[in-house]
Amino acid sequence: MNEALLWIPTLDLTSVPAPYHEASAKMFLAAHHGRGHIISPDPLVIRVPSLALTSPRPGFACHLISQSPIPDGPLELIDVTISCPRGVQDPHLARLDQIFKKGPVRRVILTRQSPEQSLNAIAQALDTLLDTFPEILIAIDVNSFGWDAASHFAAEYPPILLDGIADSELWRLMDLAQVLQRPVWLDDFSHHPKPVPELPQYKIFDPPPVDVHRIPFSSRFR
Amino acid sequence: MNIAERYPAQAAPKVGVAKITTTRQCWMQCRFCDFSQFAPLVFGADIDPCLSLSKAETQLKRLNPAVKLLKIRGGLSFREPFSYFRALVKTAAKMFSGPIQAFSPIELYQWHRIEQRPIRDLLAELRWAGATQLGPGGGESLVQPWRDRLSPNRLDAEAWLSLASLGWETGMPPSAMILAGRWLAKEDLAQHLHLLTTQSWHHLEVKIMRPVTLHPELEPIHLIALCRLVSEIKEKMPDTPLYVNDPSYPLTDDAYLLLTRAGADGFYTTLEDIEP
Repeated sequence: MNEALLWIPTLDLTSVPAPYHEASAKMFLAAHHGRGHIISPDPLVIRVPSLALTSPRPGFACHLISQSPIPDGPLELIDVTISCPRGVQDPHLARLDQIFKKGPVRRVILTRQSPEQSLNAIAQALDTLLDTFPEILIAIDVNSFGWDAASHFAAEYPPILLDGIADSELWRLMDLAQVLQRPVWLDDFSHHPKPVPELPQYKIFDPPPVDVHRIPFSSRFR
Repeated sequence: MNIAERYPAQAAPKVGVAKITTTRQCWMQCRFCDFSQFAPLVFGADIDPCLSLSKAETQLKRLNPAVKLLKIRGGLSFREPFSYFRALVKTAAKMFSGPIQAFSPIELYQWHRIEQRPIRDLLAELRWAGATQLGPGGGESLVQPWRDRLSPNRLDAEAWLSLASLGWETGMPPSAMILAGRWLAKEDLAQHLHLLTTQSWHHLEVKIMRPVTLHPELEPIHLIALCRLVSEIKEKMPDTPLYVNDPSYPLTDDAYLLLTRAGADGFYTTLEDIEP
């Protein structure tokens, strides 16, 4: 069987008022069969399968977004979002280097700097990242990449993950999976994936059962 | 391959197209067609006349200068004589100096049947009037079981191919098409391409099936599948120019680049529609 495409639904609580964090997380998990990744500014009271905090705390993974300053001191586990570098001299690459020195990186999410950023530059960045860090999960953000480029890179580089897929866009992932003939798994970082049922595949027509060039052409009249 | 050259720096050129539709009324009832309006082939049926020559002339006078190709289609009216269609081509040629793709083997066959005239004469007259190439209409699928299923009223694949090949004799080089849809099975595509490789073509057009709600099996094709299709066609027929027609939904810049990378030599973009 081909390698599965992972769908990791993500709930970002950074803009949600603190009193609603638990309720939002509960609803989110209930809606996704108890799976899903949550990004939160503070630890949650309820147990969640997969959580990353936007600021470093002992015992928690840390999610660093493009603009956030790199915290002092070592970190336990890092998810990082960076803009796709344009070349070797790109400042985002230097930032990634600094983050790698802070602790083990679990996932790197690439965002496209602008819709005009060339596919060559992205392919080069993906090549470099996948060759240099084969053990790290490399993800691309579908919202900045656009679905066309994201689908293409998912097809070209099977290990990469598509990130930022909202529930309403899941059909696009399923559609892509149908073309690539890969299953889709609902997953998070607790690693107990659940297969997502495939989109209905309409049967490709059989040739007509009767010869329409002969009369009568319907078998009812034979 | 050098890593920097893996994707083209820019997409293949877009060719602006103006389409002249003589009539939308048609009796063929092809299942994939959401363009035509059914008009029964019976005496006394209420059928509108085709596009008038004066209207065509007026609209051609203020044609968008970006238009580089004129396509004339929809000649399946059985009211207007062949001379009307010839006059329309003549009018178009008078107003437009670029290439004119006029009608297809489907229309030729209908005029041949109705007016009892040799196909070669009809082609020669269209050429005389100013048409420069024969359109790919009717070549959606040359796999006969598919044709029987989707467009049973059209002439069969073998006849279509032989009529198209006559275009070369009269200086109206024929073009062919591949209707890109999800229904296109691998073996059907192989057979279609095999039939196309039996003769030469002015160019090939990939037409993207419009989404049809009532027929879920006729869904639009995914971009990745479309790129695969384009590269497969290019591999089989490397010397024939391959154009992708813009679908009914807009393509992104990335899609144009990826299709160029797959082997598309250009894109046909409809800029104007001239209708009755």
